[in-house]
Amino acid sequence: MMDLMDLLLIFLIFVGSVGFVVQPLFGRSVSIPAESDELELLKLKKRIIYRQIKELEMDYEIGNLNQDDYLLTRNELKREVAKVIKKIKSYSRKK
Amino acid sequence: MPVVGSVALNLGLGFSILTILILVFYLHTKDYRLYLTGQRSALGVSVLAIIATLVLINELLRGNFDVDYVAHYTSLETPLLFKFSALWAGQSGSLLFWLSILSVYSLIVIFLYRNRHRKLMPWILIVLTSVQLFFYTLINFITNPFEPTSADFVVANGNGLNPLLQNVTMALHPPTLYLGFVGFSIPFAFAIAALITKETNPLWIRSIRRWSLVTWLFLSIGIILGGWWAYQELGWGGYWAWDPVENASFMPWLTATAFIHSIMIQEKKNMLRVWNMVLIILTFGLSVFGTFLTRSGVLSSVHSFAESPLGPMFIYFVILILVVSTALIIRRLPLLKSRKRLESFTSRESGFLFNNVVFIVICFAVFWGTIFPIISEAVRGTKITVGPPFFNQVTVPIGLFLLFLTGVGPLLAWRRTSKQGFIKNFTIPTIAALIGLIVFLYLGFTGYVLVAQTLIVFVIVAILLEFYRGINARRRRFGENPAQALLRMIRKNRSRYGGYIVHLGIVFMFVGFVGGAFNQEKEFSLKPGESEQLGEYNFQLKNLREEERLNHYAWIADLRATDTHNKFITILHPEKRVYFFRSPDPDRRQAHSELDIYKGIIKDIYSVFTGIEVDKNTAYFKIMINPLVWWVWLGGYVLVFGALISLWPARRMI
Amino acid sequence: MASKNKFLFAIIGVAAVVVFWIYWVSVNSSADNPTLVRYLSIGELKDQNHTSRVKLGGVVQAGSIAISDSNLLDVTFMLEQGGETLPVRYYGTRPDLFKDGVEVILEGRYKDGIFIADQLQTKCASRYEGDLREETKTQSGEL
Repeated sequence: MMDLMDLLLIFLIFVGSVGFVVQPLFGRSVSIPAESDELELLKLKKRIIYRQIKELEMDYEIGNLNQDDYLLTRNELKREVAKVIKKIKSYSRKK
Repeated sequence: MPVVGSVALNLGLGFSILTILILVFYLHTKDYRLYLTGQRSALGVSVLAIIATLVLINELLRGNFDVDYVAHYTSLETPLLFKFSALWAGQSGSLLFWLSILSVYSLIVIFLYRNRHRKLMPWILIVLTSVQLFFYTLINFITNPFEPTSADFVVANGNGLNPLLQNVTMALHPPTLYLGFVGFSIPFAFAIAALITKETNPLWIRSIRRWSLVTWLFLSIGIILGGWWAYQELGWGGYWAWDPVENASFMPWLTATAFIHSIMIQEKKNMLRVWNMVLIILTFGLSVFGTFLTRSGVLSSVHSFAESPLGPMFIYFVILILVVSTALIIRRLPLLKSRKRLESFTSRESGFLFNNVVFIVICFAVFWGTIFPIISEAVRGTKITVGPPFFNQVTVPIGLFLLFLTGVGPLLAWRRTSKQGFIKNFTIPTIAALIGLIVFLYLGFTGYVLVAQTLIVFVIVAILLEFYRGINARRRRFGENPAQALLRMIRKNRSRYGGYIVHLGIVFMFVGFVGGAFNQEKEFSLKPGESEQLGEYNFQLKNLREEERLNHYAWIADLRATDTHNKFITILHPEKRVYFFRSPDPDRRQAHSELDIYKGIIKDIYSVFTGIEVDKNTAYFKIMINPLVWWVWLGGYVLVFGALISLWPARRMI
Repeated sequence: MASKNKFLFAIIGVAAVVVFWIYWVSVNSSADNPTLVRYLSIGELKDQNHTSRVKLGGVVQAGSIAISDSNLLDVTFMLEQGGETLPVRYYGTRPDLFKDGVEVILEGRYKDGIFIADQLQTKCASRYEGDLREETKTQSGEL
């Protein structure tokens, strides 16, 4: 059933995959790379709030919102985004 | 060659166990080298599955009948495309196919997030590899596609694929469905990882939103293709029969649809976090359950289910998923609880919430109807079958309520809708719906049909109004012309307007469903020259021909359709075919009715050549008049178009 | 708190209504609207002499198919299942796969010793999978 070609292929697959997997273990020990997530998260938050403000403006213009609600929510969002921007600034200063 | 595939499967099994062990070890020691090793090992698990699949494809294309699977599902005459699609024609092949799709997805995950989600990734890989391990176990120990053909006989030619399945749509339907089924493993892995690591930041929610939209789209396309195939090939004149196999794909679609709605609230308001977890887990659970339903043989009878360990293993797996996930959610409840509350019934949020409840409730009804026969047989010994009338009767009113929500939801403001807002947004659609109601009443419609028609008018007007207002706002603000405004508006708010377009597609489908209430059918026999009446149409058999073709023998009818004013409409050519007609064994010969459909915006004329008496020169037909079916397919296209708009990457990838 | 309860009640209310609705539909199964249909064996059908609408499964006895001379759509055959047989009459379009020895599922009524079926399906384990294993054996046996 099994011819030489098959054997060779199996051998290659086996050695290749095992070698590939264990290789990092023989390297120098690496520390876990720093979490870049936090800054990214803040930036994402900023973007999300900006988008929310835009959408709010649009909803208002279309007429899905009354003025009171619109102003209230808008101010709330603006305050929030100000906080986030502040954090981003302090974060990049640290770096 | 098949032995290479077998070995790849064995190795894959070993590697998946190894991956889990290494990653767990990494989580203990925090030695990053171990993580890298684990990641590579996970890569290996996926690559090995793909190698095994490629080997099987190679055997299928070569027609190596020494492999039982190949002998079973292909023959020398099978066209190349269907030799390939035989990969998912049988049980073991389709399980391998499931695994290899998951492997492709898992490779994408490893590649995309190699530098992100550091806290989550080890657990994501553990979850994904565990799912792979499950399928590797099934394939290695229970149904191995590389099983050689029994030694005591030689196969000169394989069985070949059922002619019904030799159809391009049918070749595409299972893979798209599987892409959808399997795709939900990724959001599931993310959800479990987030629960375990107590990750609360919303970054991962963004990552899985796209995943779930893509898989939802695949699932939708798969379901629509299935309906299309049934309509084109099966000859009973419909596209949806509430067959358990169809339900199996419909249930995860329902929960996935609920999820892609409620995830928006989580993104915007950070609410409904527990609920979204539940939806992800339910969708994945139902996907696995669906694979189980279609592949374990439990549907034919509980006894065939008990004969093979495959069914019980699937059940254990689903139970394991549900138990572990539920336990995790309960433990993390305090973390997941949101501080914000819903404020008012007339808010966008509450619209979403009720939409979710309705989806879940439909899902429950379908689930109940699907498993009731199985349960009744297992518990009471007598099988009680649940027919389409049950599903139709139960789901029609709920579906109409959902249609109503589709129209109302987008008109509601976030948080709460003020009185003026209410009047402003609802006046025009409501008036339009009332006018529609009066017109349809006058035309003599009643009952559900009338309700559906009124709602359809309401929703279409509501959606168009939303577009109109958006365009107007931009025109006022930026002085753009309408076309410009429309394009820019969509580009700036892809997910929103894409979503509305999807809604429009769904409404078109409802138009088609309403048409189903007016189907007509008739069975009759004709000799050449004779004619028969159905509804406002007249059918005359002009001619009866026969033809010998490459792999079948065919009788072809030329059926001339005219309307009451004797105006010519079309000539239909339904065929009666016999496959394997050269086979000396009459049992091998297989009849097949190739139907012909005249498709129109208002009505389809559907013709089936049901039988022939050669000695009497008489042909038998079944003719159906199916109004508005065309709209179902149109709705399908619109839905796909809308989903693509939502998915189209914005300039800034998040 | 009150608002939270309000929503909870609304949701539970909707769910309760639907569960009742499902129950109601299941219980109100009738002849023109058969939501739930009993699936019986031939033995059970004969013993209990069911006259309501039921489903039956079995194999078409080889050589028993008799198609009416006057109408191709009118067919009678013997259904075999669990060592018992039952004459069946069916009028309508038959599936292409219908022939001797094929497994079928019927829906209809039992009347005066004959089962009058109005639905006839040939059985396939799954839509995607026709198990043709038996045929493999006979075919390769010949070679």
